[in-house]
Amino acid sequence: MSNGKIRVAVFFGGRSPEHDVSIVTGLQVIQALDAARYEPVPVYVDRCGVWRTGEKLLDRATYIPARDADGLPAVSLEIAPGKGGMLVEQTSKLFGKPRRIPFDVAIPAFHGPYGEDGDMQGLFEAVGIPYTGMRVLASAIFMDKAATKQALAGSGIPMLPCAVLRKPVGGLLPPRADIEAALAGITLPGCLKPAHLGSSIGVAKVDSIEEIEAVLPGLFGNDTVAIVEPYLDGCVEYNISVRRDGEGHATSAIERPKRDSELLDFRQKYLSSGGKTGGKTGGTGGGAKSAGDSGSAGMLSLTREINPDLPESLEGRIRDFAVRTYAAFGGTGAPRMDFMYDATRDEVWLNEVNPIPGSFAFFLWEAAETPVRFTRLLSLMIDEARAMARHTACPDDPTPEAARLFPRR
Amino acid sequence: MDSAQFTATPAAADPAGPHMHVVHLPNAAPVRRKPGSTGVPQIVPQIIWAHGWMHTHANLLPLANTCTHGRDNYLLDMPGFGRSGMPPATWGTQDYADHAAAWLRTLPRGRRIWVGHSFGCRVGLQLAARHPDLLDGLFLMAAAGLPRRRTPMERFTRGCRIAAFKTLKHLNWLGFGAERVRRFFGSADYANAGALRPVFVSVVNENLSDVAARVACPVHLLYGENDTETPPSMGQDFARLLAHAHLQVLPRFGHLDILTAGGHQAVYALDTFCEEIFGG
Repeated sequence: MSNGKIRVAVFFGGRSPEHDVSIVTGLQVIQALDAARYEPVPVYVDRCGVWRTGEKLLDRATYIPARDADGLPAVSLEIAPGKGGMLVEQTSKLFGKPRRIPFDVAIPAFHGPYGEDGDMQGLFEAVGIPYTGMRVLASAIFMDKAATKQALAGSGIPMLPCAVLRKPVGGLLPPRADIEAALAGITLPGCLKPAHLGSSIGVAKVDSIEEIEAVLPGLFGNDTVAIVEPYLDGCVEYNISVRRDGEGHATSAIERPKRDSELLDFRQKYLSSGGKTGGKTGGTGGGAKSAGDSGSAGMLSLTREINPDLPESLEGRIRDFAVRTYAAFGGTGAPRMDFMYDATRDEVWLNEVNPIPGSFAFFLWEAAETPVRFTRLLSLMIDEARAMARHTACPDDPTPEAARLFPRR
Repeated sequence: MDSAQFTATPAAADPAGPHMHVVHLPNAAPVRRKPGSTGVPQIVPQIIWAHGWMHTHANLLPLANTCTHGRDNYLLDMPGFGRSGMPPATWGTQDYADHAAAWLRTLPRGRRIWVGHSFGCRVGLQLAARHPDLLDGLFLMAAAGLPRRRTPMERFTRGCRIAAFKTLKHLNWLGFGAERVRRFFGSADYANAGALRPVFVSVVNENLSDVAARVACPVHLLYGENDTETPPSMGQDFARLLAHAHLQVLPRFGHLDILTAGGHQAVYALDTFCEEIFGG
């Protein structure tokens, strides 16, 4: 702490196809942190994986249009556990020591691989740094759509069946026989998705094995696993966020992303402009992962409806499934659960879980029955991170007396 | 949200006054009754939003949109701005305040907070001083209305600038058009004020020290650390003058982006202030 404030390192960017979206989320988090309690430390992980810090990172112009933050000092994390977070500048000064930048709590604001999937969470866990969001296991499972289905099988949470296609060790296309074998039990047309990416990146409708073969090489450029689910025509998507609330759970407002074409793709989701403002209640910034906007009137508000009118039973099912999914692996943070609903069959399925949703889904919390401001949501998550760190803290000597083979001084 | 707009003319108090365009964002939460009460529901607390110079209600709409839980929001287009009529004369902030007061008296008197930005804060301070029965609190963002603190060098530079302006203004025969001179030496607000320029000159030359000293209600002062129009030092001066004021400075924000990028923290501070004033 400095000046009585908790130093919060906000990590964003990363080696992920969702790198740019993460920058927007990271900057939103920094802007929304309660300045009375927290002092933010921006940590930008560039596309090559180099960590950088500096005040310049707070200016969006640093990233637009693709002006690199190369001039900023590279930093690394000191990995001696038990000392809290410590970033060390990677400079080769002739005189003087490299600058050391301490911090108390980490907020990973990554989307996609190398940050949302348990990698970073594992690093913070190993070093003993309190961090916000889901823990390592939950992050790893929920960021893998195939693993999520496997892990939640038998839990009573409805999910669509899927075929799993893995990127071959050499090349980008599995043999036809392997694809056919994997697809056993799945009737085409299907919905082909990368297993680890969000933001609707790489999602495609496929009608035949030939189409799968045409799409897979591009998909395997960004991911190592793909899934094919039955294609559901006319389904509606509903999203909701969950967090801990005392001994119980709280759920956010529900959103219905609007869609013009068969599937919501990345550009529609983040780069669209114009249109109507939807929803009964908006958010401060409308949410969003808008690439160029300053955060106000985010463009996602143009493509979704908040708190749509839903039959009570459907809303109840969505909230119930969301809470059960959240709790399945010791839920922490405020992930967003995405559901698909087929009105003709009155069936709802868990589609995917986003351990670190875009903009931390603050717009869903601001529109909740009991509204929670983004600033408040972040404070709650930081409080939870610190409580979790205390809860799981390793004793000074982790070896119980009965297991000690060597004498202690 | 446009469906909730209406135009209000405080005819009873000021029949000759201009009409004032107001946007109403009604409470979106169920209205609570007092425990045991079966009669008329409680009047929902009200937030009145007053924009800055050359702005309209639209600049505050993104923030107000998030404040509809348990509160009635009214966003004003001040006379001369947005869809409101022009002031009939060279108004000062006291005239704006009296005009707003006449309109406020047409509303049911619930607990009420005035949220202002910059110029809207000047009007709010006048309103609280002149019509103390109409407001329960002021939430002022980047409040203007006091002389800026200046270093000796800044005072010297400013003096030179004013002298040059006055000299050149009288040297039309050299080819310096008066309007060109005004635009060169004046601020962007001055240059762009158009028909409101006399009002602008009247307003910016006001010193609200005496007015602030008469404000009795609680005041939350919110400033951006990097605000060069209304620097945080102005907030310190206001805090000394006001009877019940709390000053909060948001790091890294300026005069305008305190409403956009800083909006999350601003509405969070407003929530806290509302709880203090409205209770619960």
